[in-house]
Amino acid sequence: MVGLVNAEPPENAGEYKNVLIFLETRQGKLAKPGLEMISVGAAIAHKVNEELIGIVMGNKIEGLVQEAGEYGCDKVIGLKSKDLEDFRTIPYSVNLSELITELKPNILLIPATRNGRDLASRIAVRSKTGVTADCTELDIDPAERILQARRPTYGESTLAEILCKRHRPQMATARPGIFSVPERDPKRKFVSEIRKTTIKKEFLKKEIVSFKPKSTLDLTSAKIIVSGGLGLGKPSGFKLLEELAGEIGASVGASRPTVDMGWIERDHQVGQTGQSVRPDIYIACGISGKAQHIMGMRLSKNIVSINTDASAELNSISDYIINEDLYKVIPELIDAIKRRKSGEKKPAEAPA
Amino acid sequence: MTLEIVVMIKQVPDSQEVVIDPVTFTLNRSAARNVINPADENAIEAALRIKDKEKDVHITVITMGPPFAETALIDAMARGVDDAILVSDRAFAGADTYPTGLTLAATITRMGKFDIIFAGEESTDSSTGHVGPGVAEFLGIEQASYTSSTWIEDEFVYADRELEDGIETVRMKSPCLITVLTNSNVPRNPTLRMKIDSIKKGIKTWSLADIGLKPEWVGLKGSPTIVKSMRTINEKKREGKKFKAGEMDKFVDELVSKGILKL
Amino acid sequence: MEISEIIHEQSYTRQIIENKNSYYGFYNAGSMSEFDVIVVGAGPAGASAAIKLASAKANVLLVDRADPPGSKNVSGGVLWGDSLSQVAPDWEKGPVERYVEAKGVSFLTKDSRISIDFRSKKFGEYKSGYTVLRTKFDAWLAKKAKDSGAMVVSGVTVDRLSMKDGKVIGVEQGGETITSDAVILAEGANSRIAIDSGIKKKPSDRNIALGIKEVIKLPEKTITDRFGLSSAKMGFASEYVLGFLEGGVRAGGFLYTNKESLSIGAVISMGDLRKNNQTYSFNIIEQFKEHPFIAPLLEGGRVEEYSAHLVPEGGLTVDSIYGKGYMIAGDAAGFTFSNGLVLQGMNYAVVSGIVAADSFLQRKEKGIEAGANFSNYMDNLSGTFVMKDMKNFKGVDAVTWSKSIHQTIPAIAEEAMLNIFSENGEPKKHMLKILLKSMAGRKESKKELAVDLYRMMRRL
Ligand SMILES: Cc1cc2nc3c(=O)[nH]c(=O)nc-3n(C[C@H](O)[C@H](O)[C@H](O)COP(=O)(O)OP(=O)(O)OC[C@H]3O[C@@H](n4cnc5c(N)ncnc54)[C@H](O)[C@@H]3O)c2cc1C
Ligand SMILES: Cc1cc2nc3c(=O)[nH]c(=O)nc-3n(C[C@H](O)[C@H](O)[C@H](O)COP(=O)(O)OP(=O)(O)OC[C@H]3O[C@@H](n4cnc5c(N)ncnc54)[C@H](O)[C@@H]3O)c2cc1C
Ligand SMILES: Nc1ncnc2c1ncn2[C@@H]1O[C@H](COP(=O)(O)O)[C@@H](O)[C@H]1O
Repeated sequence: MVGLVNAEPPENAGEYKNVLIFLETRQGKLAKPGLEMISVGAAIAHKVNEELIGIVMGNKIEGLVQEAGEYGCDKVIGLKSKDLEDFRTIPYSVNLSELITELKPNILLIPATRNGRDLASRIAVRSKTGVTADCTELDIDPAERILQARRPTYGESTLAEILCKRHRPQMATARPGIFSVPERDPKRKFVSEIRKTTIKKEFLKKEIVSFKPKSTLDLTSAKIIVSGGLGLGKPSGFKLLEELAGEIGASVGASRPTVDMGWIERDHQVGQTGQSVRPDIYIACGISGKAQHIMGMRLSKNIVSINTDASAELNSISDYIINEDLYKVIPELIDAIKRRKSGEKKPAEAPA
Repeated sequence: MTLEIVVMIKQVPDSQEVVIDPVTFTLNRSAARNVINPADENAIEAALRIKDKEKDVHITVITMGPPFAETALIDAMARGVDDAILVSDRAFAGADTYPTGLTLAATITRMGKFDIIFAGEESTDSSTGHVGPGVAEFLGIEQASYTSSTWIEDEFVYADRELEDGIETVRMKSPCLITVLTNSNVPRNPTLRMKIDSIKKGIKTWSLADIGLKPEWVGLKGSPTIVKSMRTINEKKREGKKFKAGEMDKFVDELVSKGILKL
Repeated sequence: MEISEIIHEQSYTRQIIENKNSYYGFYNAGSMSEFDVIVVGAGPAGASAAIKLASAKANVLLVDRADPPGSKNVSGGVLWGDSLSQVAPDWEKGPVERYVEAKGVSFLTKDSRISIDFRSKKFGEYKSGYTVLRTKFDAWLAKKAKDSGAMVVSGVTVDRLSMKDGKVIGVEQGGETITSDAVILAEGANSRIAIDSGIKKKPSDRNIALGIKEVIKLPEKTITDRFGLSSAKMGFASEYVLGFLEGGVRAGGFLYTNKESLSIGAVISMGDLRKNNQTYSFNIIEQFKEHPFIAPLLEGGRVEEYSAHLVPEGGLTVDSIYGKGYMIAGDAAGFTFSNGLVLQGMNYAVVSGIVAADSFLQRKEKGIEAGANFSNYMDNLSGTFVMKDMKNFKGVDAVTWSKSIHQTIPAIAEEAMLNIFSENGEPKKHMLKILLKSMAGRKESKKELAVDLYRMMRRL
């Protein structure tokens, strides 16, 4: 396997058909980012009268194969082996590329999660093809069956459309949290197949010696986010945000410096090196709005900025601006929400 | 025997200085300086920490880039890296991740023996994270991506991978490739003494011919993907309606009546 | 192919291979020092010194804390005169913006502007100046130094001078010493090294002002049209006395045209800022930008850069600009001139840097010892306009920061102008009468004003 290969394109691009998606598993379950591939993958496949084929790899996968079909794959192939129980780059990429050689898919979609990107990079090189990373829009040109993969670049300011015309399969990874998970339908018809495989010893040299699960906060599917920045001034500021969040059923987000200073756990971080979120409302409290932060939240449907500095960059992309000390307005806001919930009127307005 | 470590680094525009134009939402990178990609600084530090602990470690830092990327290499050497190679050739221009990986893999092959290759998790300017694992595939070696720490114990390379749902500790034999998370350590600063010594020592520059690749395999020609078009993301017009302290009831009314907030 | 053949032309490595420079110290053979000269700071002073030294084959190290060198430097942006041609004859083809063909001086009150707008065909014959953008300009100069053979190290902050037996023997950084026969300190107005090394007293607020600046992007043609310039190569530079600021803060403003941007900024008295408990200079530049006679000039522009920097005021502020093993050049020595009409420092920086380099070379010819006393630097500098201006305009700060300049005179002038130009049906009065009348109506003591007027005439 050691040695260099070159990038000659296959001459028989026309033979490649169907859309293949990799359904990532996590701790024995189908993970959400993989399920998100189903609706977009099916749309692309059906537009050119092809099939969406889901791939599930693991050990106890019977239930997962069924589930993938119920979510909307036309066909599900399960690769079953004890050695595939946990994700490991080489056994996964060797097996998936063997399937690619056999099935000749026109398109391969993989979720842009950490393991997904890891796998996609190696598959692309093995299959001598290109991959468009971290897409937020995917479509197909029906005439040429060319995948139109679009990804945000330059700090989410532009959307680049990237094509892979001559090489097959055309690969893309899709950003988690962008495409929606389809409805699960237990009556849906699909074809499924489970294959037992054995993995060569030489591919199993990397061992997973331990795994410490952590409960992670998934901000990407939050509908409301109350987020705090350095303007909180102190770690305990997040207590106030939690109180507000509790009142409106929101999750708590944070800017990077607050995380770096240890005011809050890293999985709360929104932005370039944190999570990309698009809630219905993003309430930014004491966040200046540097490019790296804005990248991760500007697709929010509504943005509220509470900031003492009227010229904070975040204000320029806000629907609502409250130019006040957050320690003053947030308690007022909490009270107002409580009153609204209980149907009470504001004291001054209440009839005497 | 000497433990040979290679660190792959990339020079990128300093994203801290890149500003988003609030009106057009385009990125103004004209003012931005070129710096070492943040994750790559952590990769250099991860390699140096192994050198601090083990005896007989030799580190080479490599980059594929334009001539001015030399400053990034000098900077890396001034932190304690032993040697630096700039792989530079007009033919490399316009490379996507595939030929970039190929070029770096060819460079490493040409260098001779290697044990551990470090790369950053991803670069801030293209943020694919594909180059590191791509190189591992070209070389046919094991890899551990998204790691927060790497160490050597009983001839094995160990690494902690930080995944969405937990931390996975893996064990491998070298040769292997490790990609390092941004902020996973605090990179040391170069000193004046070390900078002077690195400049005196100098870097090596290799061209396409030196790494034995054909021009059609690299750069734009060797890239399977093409950028078809770029368009500005259509931004929702945001009104920036102002509310003052004391008007929170009015504010909540507005959110609720517009269906933005459901209580 | 031989590796040496494919090494990029400008690279350090190539320079070493071709012995283009003297990294290995053949020049200072006989001396124990690693370098002939270490220049700290790659602003106009340090870079000019380094170019001069390296061109004379001296073994020189130029260190700057920013990477690339000078990328954190701020200037309003007119480099007056032609001193730079001594070390960089092609500088006018370098990264310059526009040649200043129109010069303005204005007093601004809350509602009015009283200006002199000077344009002259003769600006073609005399050297006026070019507007420059420092990030570009400084990087270009540092590159010149490198191409001349200096070793340029950027991104490292020198901690202090290294001293032995009362002599400077090099610099210290990160606990290590780098030795040299001489150090040229060109670290700018902050003077951290000079202060920490005990060769300069901490300047008082009176001697320090805060300079703030924004670069505002505008199309080239808009600028040429809006400022009535004869071509895209020609520029406008104006100074303002900001007599309308909240809290009576005293500040001077400036507005210069670059190719595709404007440099607008203010120089603010530190003392006033402290008095008003303001640490926030942002507000002041905002007030300036929103002034009814400034705002239209900026219309449609977009802020691209914001920066702040200290400016030494009041000329020479060090006891001695030289000593055993060292010389101080540029802002670090206090070589700036600001009289409310012009703000200059880069030209002094360039000249003092070159003279410091020359003074080293002069000593070198006679065989130098590490830690030699560079009294010749002062002698050489005395023959240049740098020292002459410093002497002639000594104490000018007392005037430039006087209440008269910042408040009284603009207010009087405004009242007088309104009187002269308003048609209120009364017979026209004599100019002097108007002036005397509006002066008489003021609270400020006539004596204070008289003193300031006297000083002004003597010193400007
Ligand atoms: C490679 C890289 C990646 C990065 N990735 C991320 C990322 O993923 N996410 C991220 O967030 N950042 C990221 N950053 C950092 C980013 O550049 C900014 O530094 C950061 O977003 C600024 O955070 P902030 O708004 O909390 O702090 P500041 O910029 O300090 O802003 C604090 C704000 O609070 C306001 N304020 C102060 N007091 C009050 C008060 N009492 N009431 C109301 N308002 C008040 C102030 O006016 C100010 O606007 C990254 C940087 C780099 C270089
Ligand atoms: C707002 C403003 C407007 C101005 N407008 C004009 C104008 O229009 N025309 C004009 O002629 N002048 C103007 N000046 C003055 C001019 O900027 C200075 O006089 C000039 O820059 C001085 O040059 P210098 O080389 O002495 O110092 P600087 O330009 O300040 O350079 C000093 C260098 O030293 C480096 N340095 C500092 N400390 C260390 C350290 N410890 N280790 C390593 N490196 C270090 C810095 O990074 C910097 O590059 C203006 C100044 C300001 C602030
Ligand atoms: N041109 C290059 N030269 C050296 N290393 C690179 C280059 N491009 C990418 N890398 C490495 O690959 C990592 C991931 O980059 P990317 O795939 O561009 O996100 C970077 O952090 C570097 O370690």
